[in-house]
Amino acid sequence: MRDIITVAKKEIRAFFSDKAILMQMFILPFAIVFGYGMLMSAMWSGMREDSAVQDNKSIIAYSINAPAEFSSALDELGIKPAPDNDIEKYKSQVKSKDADMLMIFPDDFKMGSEDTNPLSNIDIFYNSDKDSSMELYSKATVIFTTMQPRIFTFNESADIEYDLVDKAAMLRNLLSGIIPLMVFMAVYMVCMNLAANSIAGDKEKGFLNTLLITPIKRESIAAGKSLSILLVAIISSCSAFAGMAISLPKFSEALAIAENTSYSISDYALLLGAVITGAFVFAVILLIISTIAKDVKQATQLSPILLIIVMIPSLLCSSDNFSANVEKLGAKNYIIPVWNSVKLLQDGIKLNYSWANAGITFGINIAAALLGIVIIGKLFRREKIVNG
Amino acid sequence: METLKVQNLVKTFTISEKQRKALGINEKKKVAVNGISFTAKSGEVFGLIGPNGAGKTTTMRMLATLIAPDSGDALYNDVSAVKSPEEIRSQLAFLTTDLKPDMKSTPNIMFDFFAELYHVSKDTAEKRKKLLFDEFGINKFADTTISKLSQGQRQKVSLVISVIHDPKFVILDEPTNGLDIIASRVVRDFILDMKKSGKCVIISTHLFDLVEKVCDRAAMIMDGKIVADDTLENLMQGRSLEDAFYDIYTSLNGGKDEV
Repeated sequence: MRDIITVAKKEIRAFFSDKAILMQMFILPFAIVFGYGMLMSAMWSGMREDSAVQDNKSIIAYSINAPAEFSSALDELGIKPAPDNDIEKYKSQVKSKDADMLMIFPDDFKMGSEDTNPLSNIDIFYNSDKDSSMELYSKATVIFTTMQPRIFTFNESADIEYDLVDKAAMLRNLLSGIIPLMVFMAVYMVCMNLAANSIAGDKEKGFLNTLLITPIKRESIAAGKSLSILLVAIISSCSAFAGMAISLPKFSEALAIAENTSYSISDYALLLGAVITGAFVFAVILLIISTIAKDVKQATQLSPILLIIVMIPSLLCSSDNFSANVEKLGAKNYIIPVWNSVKLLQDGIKLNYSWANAGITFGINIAAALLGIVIIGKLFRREKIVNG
Repeated sequence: METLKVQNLVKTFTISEKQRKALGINEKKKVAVNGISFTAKSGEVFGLIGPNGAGKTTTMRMLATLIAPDSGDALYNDVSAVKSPEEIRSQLAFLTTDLKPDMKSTPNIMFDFFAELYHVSKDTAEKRKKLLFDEFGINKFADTTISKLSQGQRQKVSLVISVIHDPKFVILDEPTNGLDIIASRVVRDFILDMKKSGKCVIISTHLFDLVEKVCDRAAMIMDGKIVADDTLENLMQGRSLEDAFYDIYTSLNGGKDEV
């Protein structure tokens, strides 16, 4: 243990005596997450009504009191007569994205003429946070607009909110796709550089062999170097987390949503745990790559593969189909290191998490990191890898 | 009396496809060291001399426990390098120009760091630091970042670090390779100092001049095998070491002198 600490201390001292590395560890992750958060907030505040991100191929849409003249148009749109007249029930389904549209014709609907005043108004409820709903709404408006003009109106009432989107949920969905990506990208950038230099760099510069001829076990050198990078992972995670914690309320402000988007201390604790334990696995994988690589260049060329594990699911999570398939996996999501952190971060941001899944994630990630350190130790025993 | 007995060391490397193409060969394996044996004693400098690719560096790396032999062993005072590499490393210094200190560190920090790794007590480390820094004139740049030092100064730092623990055995692989004349002289003086202080010193080199100046005995190595092992006097027999080596080389090649 003494040898491990000696090696770790030397590495940490080197990190803390280099201003550029200090900046990277403490400031860069915060700057990336916070800066990107601010940029997105500014963009969203100007275009918040356009945030539609879901996709659902099967249309579920209902009409109430639809007159016969509209049958063919409604058939074309795939809108079926509602089984009953429970308006609130169908509005609730649209809001929760279980249905795409509710079209309500007034009881006394009449096709008007140029002289009719007021014209009968059709209320069309949709959800702008769902692709299929938005698509259907667009089609409906096109068809209705091209029908004989001024014989009826739709969505004319200023008092009714026709877009039934749950803005808080929409915000959380958007953030759950972007934030894990930003956070792990920031942690990755810091750890990748330092992990690559820690082992591949020492190998390239001839310092690793200088360490290997000392009487300490090779596993101790591996563990010491790993510990120092894990500390970097913790610091950069905290920095990225700080950026995230400050950005989250700003996102809410940008979308003018104050309700149901506030996060409690336990929510933040879960998010921090997800980031730190995910960063542990990240750091250890980067160290394994660094151990296998011949030099820093090769290590930095191989490392971006790791980002794919985070990027693809993060970007795809905004798709209804992908999310539905992911949800079907249930607790299995939390046994895959790195992905489990991304998923837990998404759950935490959506305020739809369980501490049991968090426990699985933390445990699996810490176990994976320890296993990774053992693997690095074993790799240090392999002549071809360490001695070139 | 410290004794190193090298017993029938064998090391084979797998040649990658890329290397095979580069070298224009078909063999998938190369026997780099093929049954090398010799004995070196304290208070003498033993030289391993041979052309590039003869197996010198592989032998030295096995002696330093950086790589393990396929078979054979090196016994340091009867302790096996194969079975107890950590114990052996606490008794030996290994120096090659490929091994470098951390360029971002200072000599002071490096010394303290390696003193801990070699498990030298703080008091002893302080005494050793004073002694070695004075001897090698390191005090004036002890707190300068190593990357800013000259090649000769860096070599002094490497030498000092390698002997922090006052080793009984000193192994130097091509110790002057790529060094300028000042740094080479520092290394040569270091070897003679080690000999004077009773260490068992083994050097490998292709520089006949260095061997003639510092070695008491030498072994000539070709194609992974030792072809001659004797005192310098007996090897040279009135000739220069280079001539002696060349004569042995041509006699082994059936009178042909192609290299």
